[in-house]
Amino acid sequence: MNRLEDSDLREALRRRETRRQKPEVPADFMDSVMQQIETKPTVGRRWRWMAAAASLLILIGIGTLLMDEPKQDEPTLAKTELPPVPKVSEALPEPIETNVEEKPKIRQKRKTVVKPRTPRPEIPDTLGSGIWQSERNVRLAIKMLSECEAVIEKSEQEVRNNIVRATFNAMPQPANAVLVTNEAGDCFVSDTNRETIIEI
Amino acid sequence: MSSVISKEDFARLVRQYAPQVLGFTARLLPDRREAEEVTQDAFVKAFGQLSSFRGESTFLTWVQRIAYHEAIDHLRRRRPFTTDISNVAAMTDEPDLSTGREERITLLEEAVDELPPDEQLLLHLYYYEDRPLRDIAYIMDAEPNTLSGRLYRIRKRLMVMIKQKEDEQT
Repeated sequence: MNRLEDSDLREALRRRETRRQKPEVPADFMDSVMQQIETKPTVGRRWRWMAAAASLLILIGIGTLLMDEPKQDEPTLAKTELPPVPKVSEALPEPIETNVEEKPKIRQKRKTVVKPRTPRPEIPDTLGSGIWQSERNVRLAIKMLSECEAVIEKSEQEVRNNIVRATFNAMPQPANAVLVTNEAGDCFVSDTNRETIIEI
Repeated sequence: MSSVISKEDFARLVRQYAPQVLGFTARLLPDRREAEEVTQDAFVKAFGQLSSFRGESTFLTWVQRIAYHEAIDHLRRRRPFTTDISNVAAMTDEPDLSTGREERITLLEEAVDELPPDEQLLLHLYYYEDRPLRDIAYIMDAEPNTLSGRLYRIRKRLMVMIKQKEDEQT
């Protein structure tokens, strides 16, 4: 086995180096380098310019942000206010388990808040003081009163000769309302002693 | 550091190291004018980047690193920098050499001349100047392990080239 030895390679490189012409530094080399250094802006100087430009851009950016601040208030508020909501809902199960009595209170509050949002038929003004045009309106009134979340005491509801008679204790309408309608659908609403009677 | 070293001091450094840096650059760029031009650019760049010199290497190694990249960039601009690996690809194992030492050294000289400039430089720095692989890795911006593998491949290729030359002679 006759392999390439390091010593052979070193010797070859040494011989190669001896026969190689070494380049000589020209006389004007120094002057040329120093002249270029004098004229050419250094990287440091360039960085300084770039840093100044960058800081100027940042200042402009901050300025525009400050000018737009009122517009951005809403989203920032929303961001800050939203997170607590899931925390409350997550924390709800524990208090409910410990304080069972608080449950109904919470439910009542929820109903009073949510229900008024549902659309209402245009009846309140006529109930108790106006004339009902048809049985449909009566049913509408009942529905409306039910949706009003008021405690409805249906003490009396009679159907006689197509006359609907009912007594309600509801709010915001007169406490006791009696709604009557005939075949033609004509109704009359009267309020007597907290009892509204609807007559033909 | 550019503010610490005055232009006069830097001029002294240029005067001191210019021959070595020019010799280094000339290994990559055989054209004398090109080598001088790239060496000048390297010193000018070095002056501009003096603040980044933190003494992790000697000043000469640091300038050589800049000069190496300048030279490689110059070569790339001039022509694509390619390395012929056809011999290596065909090689399965190190071939046995039948020649005597003297003849082999002569063949080696010829074979080294045929290598690409950057491989010649690598061999020169490692085997002739005995520079640590860490220094060469710093100059060439490569991992020492990568250079070690590269040296191994160059040696294998040199053996193939010598073998071919031997075959041609016989």
